[in-house]
Amino acid sequence: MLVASEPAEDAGLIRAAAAGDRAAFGELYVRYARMVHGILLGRVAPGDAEDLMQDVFLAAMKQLRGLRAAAAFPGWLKAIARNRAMDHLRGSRERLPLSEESAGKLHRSRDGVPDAFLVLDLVRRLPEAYRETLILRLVEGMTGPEIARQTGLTPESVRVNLCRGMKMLREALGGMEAK
Amino acid sequence: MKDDYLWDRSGPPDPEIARLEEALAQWRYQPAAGFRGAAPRRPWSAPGARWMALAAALLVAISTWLMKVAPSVPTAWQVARVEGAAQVGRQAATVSMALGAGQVLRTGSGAALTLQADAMGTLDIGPDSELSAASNRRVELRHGALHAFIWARPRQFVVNTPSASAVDLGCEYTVTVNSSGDGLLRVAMGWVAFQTGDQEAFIPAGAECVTRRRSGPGIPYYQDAGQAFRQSLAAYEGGRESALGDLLELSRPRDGLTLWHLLTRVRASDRGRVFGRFAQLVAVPAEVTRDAALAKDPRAIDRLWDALNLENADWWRGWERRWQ
Repeated sequence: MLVASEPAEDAGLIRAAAAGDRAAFGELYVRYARMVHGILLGRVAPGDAEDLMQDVFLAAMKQLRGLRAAAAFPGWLKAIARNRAMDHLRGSRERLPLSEESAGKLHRSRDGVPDAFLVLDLVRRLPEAYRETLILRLVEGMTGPEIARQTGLTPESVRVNLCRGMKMLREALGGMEAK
Repeated sequence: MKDDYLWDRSGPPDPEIARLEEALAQWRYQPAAGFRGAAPRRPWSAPGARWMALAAALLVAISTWLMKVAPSVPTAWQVARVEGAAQVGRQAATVSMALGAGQVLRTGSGAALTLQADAMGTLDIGPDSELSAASNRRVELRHGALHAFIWARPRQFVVNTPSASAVDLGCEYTVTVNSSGDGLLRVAMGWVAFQTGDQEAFIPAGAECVTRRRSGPGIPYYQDAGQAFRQSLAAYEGGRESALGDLLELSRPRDGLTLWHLLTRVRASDRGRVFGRFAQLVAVPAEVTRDAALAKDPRAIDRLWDALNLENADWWRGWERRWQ
């Protein structure tokens, strides 16, 4: 069961982890894994996101002593994840499409569930703020308040990102269905 | 409020959002699959060694915790053949059994086992081996022997060992790791990159490379190199710098591969000797100056690699070239 994080409790864990407490870092890993995975998934293929998670947390653990304010941890971890994803893309020198069908028509199963590859591809085409917030909500299953706590964004910003991002995604899906 | 379900899942579900959640849930972070039982990548790095040791311990702790709260997620690796005593986790290995993420596979003395993943390839695990799969693309050989025949695209499959990671570049190879964590990689077909941190070795078919727990991947050499050449290389890598002279003198044109790796690894004061011998054995492109090579200019090193005229090295164009 994944644990929702509370800011005050996280601050204690971050300070303890920076002082070398392995258990505290392990707890941070558990708490922030979904956020890191979601950030990576916004940029790299699903299989690569899994592989890169370890890199992100190892980099964070190595550099944690240099973090001056515990409150900066979510944004800082998010930046490490984004940078690692970009390094990965530069290293692979290619951005593989999620699906060869990505440019095609929207397919739905008999129960009306849309093609997951295509939906993720459409989400990844949204502006960064909307893309990350929507992935955390729709893929990782986090609620708006959880996203706000873990990303360091204000609840108002998250709400706006979710609403605007969802509106753009609905339009994109509608456009695909109309094809 | 209209967007309550989108915000915190309160209120009546929005059917469109619920369908999107259902479709996308397959990529949700899975705790057990998220664990990587990788060995620390730079165990010899002075300031990093402690952190890496902590990382390994931390990941083991996380793995243990996760395995208590969630069942192991099966990977695509399935047992295709078992001879003798072998275990997957706490169960006796049987054909068709899937290896779970983070689960440990052990073979007994005299035992052998084959794993197969349809989209990746086959892994023959030798006796007295211990291996775990972090994901479909990454396994860790803690000790023992592994023979891999991989048909996935280059760079899709990685074997971690206690001292280096073997990145598949489309090939067939054997990795052995002894109880001390030192290992040997022999390539039968294609290429493998052996790497840890920014230290890399590129090993073509017919070549092999040792890796040591304290120093990572060594310098690759062809298996048909003379005994004296191999002994000199081992002595040099073991710290006897005076062995470099014999090593250079005994080099054949084919050993340009070994000298190319030495160029970026030897002390700056020895680099001139290595380049000099390389230039005697390999046709160095006119645009590569001695000064550029000695300065490890990335373009010069790249052109010297091209001069080796190695086969099937298209992957090189997409490689990260961490030594740059």
